[in-house]
Amino acid sequence: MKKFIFLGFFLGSIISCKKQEMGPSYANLIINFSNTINGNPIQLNSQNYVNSEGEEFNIKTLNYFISNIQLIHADGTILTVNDGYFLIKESDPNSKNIILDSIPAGNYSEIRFILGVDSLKSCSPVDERKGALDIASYGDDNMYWSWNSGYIFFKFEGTSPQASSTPAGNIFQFHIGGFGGLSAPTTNNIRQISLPLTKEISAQNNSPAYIHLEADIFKVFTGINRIKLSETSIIMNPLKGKAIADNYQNMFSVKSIE
Amino acid sequence: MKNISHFILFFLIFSCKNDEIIPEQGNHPTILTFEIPKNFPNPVYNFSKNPISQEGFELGRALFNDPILSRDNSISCAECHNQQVAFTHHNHALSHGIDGKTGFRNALPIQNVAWYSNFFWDGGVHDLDLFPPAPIENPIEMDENLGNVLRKLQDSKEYPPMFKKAFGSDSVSTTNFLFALSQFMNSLVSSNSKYDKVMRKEGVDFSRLEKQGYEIFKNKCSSCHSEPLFTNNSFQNNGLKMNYLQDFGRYRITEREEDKWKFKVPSLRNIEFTAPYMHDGRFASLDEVLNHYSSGIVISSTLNPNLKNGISLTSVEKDALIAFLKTLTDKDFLTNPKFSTR
Repeated sequence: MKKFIFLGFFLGSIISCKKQEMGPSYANLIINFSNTINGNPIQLNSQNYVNSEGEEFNIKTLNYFISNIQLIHADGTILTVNDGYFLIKESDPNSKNIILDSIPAGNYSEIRFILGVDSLKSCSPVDERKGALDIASYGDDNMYWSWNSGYIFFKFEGTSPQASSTPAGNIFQFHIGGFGGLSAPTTNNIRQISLPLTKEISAQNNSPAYIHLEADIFKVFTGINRIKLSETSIIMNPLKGKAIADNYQNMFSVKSIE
Repeated sequence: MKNISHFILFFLIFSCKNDEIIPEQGNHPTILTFEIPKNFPNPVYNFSKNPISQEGFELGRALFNDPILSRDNSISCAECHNQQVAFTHHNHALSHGIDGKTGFRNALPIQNVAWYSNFFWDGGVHDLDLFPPAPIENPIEMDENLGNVLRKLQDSKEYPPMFKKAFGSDSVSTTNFLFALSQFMNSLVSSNSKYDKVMRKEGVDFSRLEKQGYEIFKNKCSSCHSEPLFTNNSFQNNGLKMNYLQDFGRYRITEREEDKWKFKVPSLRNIEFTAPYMHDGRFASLDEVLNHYSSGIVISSTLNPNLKNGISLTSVEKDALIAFLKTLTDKDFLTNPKFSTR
């Protein structure tokens, strides 16, 4: 009897090992966002940075929505890994890691995501706006325009001696939104970012795979458009925000893949 | 024999159950039917998602009248939206909000909103459920943060049970808060004016002057103030002179040149009681309004082409028009005790 049980167990373990080798493998994937200037992670409310116009600035707030994350295979097939909406806040380190469970391991050539909230979601009913899209969830760090229904896709605030004087001091406030309009066509500041991936996502023993993304904040001021704080320090309308969106579209890169 | 008696008993029990379905107390709100007036088109609000219930309506009414929605608990919605003047701000060209700060626009009536696809003079909001955050968070109106409002309500004694009755949960969520206010606002239907009764042939007739006014109205006003809502929900420049407020209207939202100085065509229902008139309340009387149309039009690049030469109206025609406009007064709506918490 004992012999039979042992044999059965032995055969069973061989068969189950084989099953593991034959099935697809999955990885947990973390997309990590790092906001940098000159290659160094930015510090809020501390040091002064200098933009391409030689203007000094100090950063108080940096938030942006990331959504519609896709991984593209070399043959062009698209895997929508997550259709959720994430609010990346420099002030909240946990928010800078987007954790995705059970991504099929493999060789992907590109990662794509949207900076902002797509137009369909921007017009969706209130009961479909959960988590980062809950308009009551932002506390004092507002990310929703109640007067012009829509989300603030990218919020960048701070101080600069070159910014126009306001009762609150020499501040700059870049609130970039505008999903293209519902009843009339308006400025569309939704931007899709596509970045090449040069290494495969593989399943590792129990640790997640990482895609480290870097956002070079210096590029918010320079790129397609040159932004001068002395000329433009307050942006709260989509039309004026387009110049910033056209710049930040190119600020992302893949730093590394683990 | 035993089997048959068991069967009969089972059948009786089952049939009793089918005949008397009693909703559990407090778990099922009493859904009301939204009555579409016979002379109205179908509403545009999605009632399947948020039907009006007695409990939801009462919760929305309580919220509408509660200054807890403002930063310092001083301003409620009712402050600028008074029922007796069709939920506009009685005697105010511009409304004042928190700390006595004055706004730059005249409070629009809240009536028949279930039929509207845009809100505010500039149409900045397209979904009634998303309307309340705007006045709540406006620093010169209620200057409060929506999240704080939900917290204050959750911490209160009276609101969580009302939310439970209306939505089955005592958790004051963003969705349920907004849904409750929409249930109240959607209930504010004005469809029983003299005009409505004439249209529905309910045994009421226009006087000779009112009838004359109605004919002039159909001829000269209804392309924008279309029946039966008395607005076509579009944005128009009706030739108002630019003043110190420098209000670009719809342009503020769309940023398109062609939308400069255009404002939402307001409904004329209850117009007898919603003075003063226009987006900044610049006209105190209907006489001033008609004088503007007949001889006060200012030309600009976005003026409605139909108003290029003004609207010619003799003084007799003006009297007739005003007589007709007064038939849009719905006393039932203005005085219905259900709409007030007093």
